Order: sequence, then C-alpha cells, then structure tokens
Amino acid sequence: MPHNTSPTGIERYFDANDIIVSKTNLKGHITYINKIFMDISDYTEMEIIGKPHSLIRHPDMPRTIFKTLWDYIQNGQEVFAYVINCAKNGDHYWVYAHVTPSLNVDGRVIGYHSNRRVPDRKVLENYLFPLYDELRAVEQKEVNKKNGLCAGSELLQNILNEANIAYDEFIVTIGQGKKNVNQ
Amino acid sequence: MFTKTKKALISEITQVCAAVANGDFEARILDIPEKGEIAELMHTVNLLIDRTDAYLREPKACMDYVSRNQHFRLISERGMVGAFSQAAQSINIATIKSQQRYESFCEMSDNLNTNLERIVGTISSCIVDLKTSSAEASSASSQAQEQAAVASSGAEEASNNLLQQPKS
Repeated sequence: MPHNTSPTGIERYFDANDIIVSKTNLKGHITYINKIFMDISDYTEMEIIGKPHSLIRHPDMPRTIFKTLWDYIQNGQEVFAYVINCAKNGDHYWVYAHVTPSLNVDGRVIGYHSNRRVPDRKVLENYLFPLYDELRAVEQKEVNKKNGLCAGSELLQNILNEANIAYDEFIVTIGQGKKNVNQ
Repeated sequence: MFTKTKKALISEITQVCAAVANGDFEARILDIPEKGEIAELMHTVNLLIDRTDAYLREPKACMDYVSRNQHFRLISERGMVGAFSQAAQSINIATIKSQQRYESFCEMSDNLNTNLERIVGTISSCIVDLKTSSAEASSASSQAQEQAAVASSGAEEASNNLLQQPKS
C-alpha cells in the first residue's frame, strides 16, 4: 500500500477461474505482473515494476505469516498462504497464494513466482480470520516490532505443535476435515 | 514505450513465444502498451504462459511430497481450467490412491512385524525347552554311563572271582 493511502475497508473480488500472477527478483522487487493483477490492484505495469512487493501489503496481514512464507521459499521450498492484499486506493482483496522459487537451467534460484487464486470463503471465515486476529493481537501487544514478530512466530508454532502438524500440511489441508488446527 | 513500432512489438512477442517453446517459462512480455489490439495479444500470450507455468509448478511440488511418502499436498483445482483441471484431477486421484496403498502397505508391514515377533517368541521358548530337555537327556545319559560302569565293574569282579576259584 502506498504510504499516503489508508485501507478503505472495501473488498474487491476476482473470478474463480482467474489467477493473479507476479514475479519478483531475489530481493523481492517486482519484475512482472499479469493483466489480472493490474485490473484488481489498479496499478499499471509502469507504476509497479521494480518496486518492492510490500507495496501491496495490507496492514491487517500478520507479519508472522510473511516470515513463515519467506523461511520456506528461502529454503528453496514452495509455500501456500492466505493473504490480504491492498489495491492502489486502499481497497483490499483476499487471495490464496502459491509462492514458488523460480530456478534457472542450472537449478539455481533466480527469483520468486506467486500465483494467487480465489480463496475458499468458508476456510477464510472459519479458520484464517480467527487465526490472523490472534496473531495480529500478539504481534501488536509488543511495542518493539521485532519482539512482536517473535511473539507471533511462537504462538503460531505452539498452535501447530499442539495439532501436531507442520505449516505446509496445515495450510493445504485446512478446512478439509483432516487433522489440523482448530479441529 | 509509445515509441515502439508495431514491428518491434511483434518481434518481442515472437522472441517470448520462442523462449517458452524452448522450455523457458521465465519469459514474459513486459512494457505492454496501454491499449490496442497488439496490447491485447501481448496480455493473452502472457496469460497463456502464466496458466501453463502455474500448472507446471503444481505437479512437481505434489510429486516431490509423494516421493517423501507425504500425500497431503494435492493440487488445488481452483483456477485450473479445462485440460489443466483434468490433468490436476488425475494427479490428485493418483496421489490419494498412492496414499491408500502406502497406508495399507504400512499396516501390512506392521502386521508382519507383530507376527514375526510372535514367531520369534515361540521359537525362543522352544529353544529354551529344547535346552532343558537336552540337559536332562545329557544328565540321564551320564547317569546311565555311570550305572553301566558300575555294572561293568561288577561283572568284571564276578568274572575275576570265577577265574580265581581254587581248583579242587
């Protein structure tokens, strides 16, 4: 979200068959966005290429989730996450993001690819909203941002440990009636 | 970007298509004009690459999990259209079946383990029994030997006595 914009609280939606795609370099700077990205976010290609991906970050998004995401992809692994993003004017849209490292022919990571689909609304409302509320509350209780992130990560880890599940399994099976958190 | 000629734009499309045809799914058309027929063509080419690239990343990850005997990572079929969706379904069904086989294999192997443990237990106790019997047999045999020795020395004595009887 640009610095001079604040969230409007208005949600935007995209078609169930659509995919929002962006690519970044290793530093997280945007190198590509697709047409659907442009349409939902109101950004033009010119405005966004070369900018940090955090430009579309919404303040409601727990930082703990971004840290988890980053840990996975820096380890060369794929990761899924439910993410709230910000359009140029402060409107928001929820996505189910699949982030994967992009490899060159030698198998070296040269950037990241994010493919976002329409999230399952029931999963969002029943599991993700309560979880993110909890994480955000813990993060915001600390004055120091770094301590907040630590507290959030600890809480997430405890929740996962209690359910005896790793984040990667938790996030792709959530709401499917298999073993996972909150069940 | 407004200075680009139609020829330059078409050459860009050709280059990106050629790269993707060679398996380079990182290639995308950038710097697309804001409107016009060519812009539409460029976005559509990118969409074609995006859908294929997004699909390609799915089964790879899914199969990586399966090779580690983890089967929870199915392809999310949402956003997969037409043939992509059909292929995703096939992979998901194969993953679920592979999970069922893996689980029944684990169960079989557990049962086999239990049975083997039972058999080993039975054999061990048989061996103990055998050892006891063999010890008994061996002590019986040494008793018999002793008795035989006693008998044989008795016989010897008797025969000596007979031999030593004075002639009269």
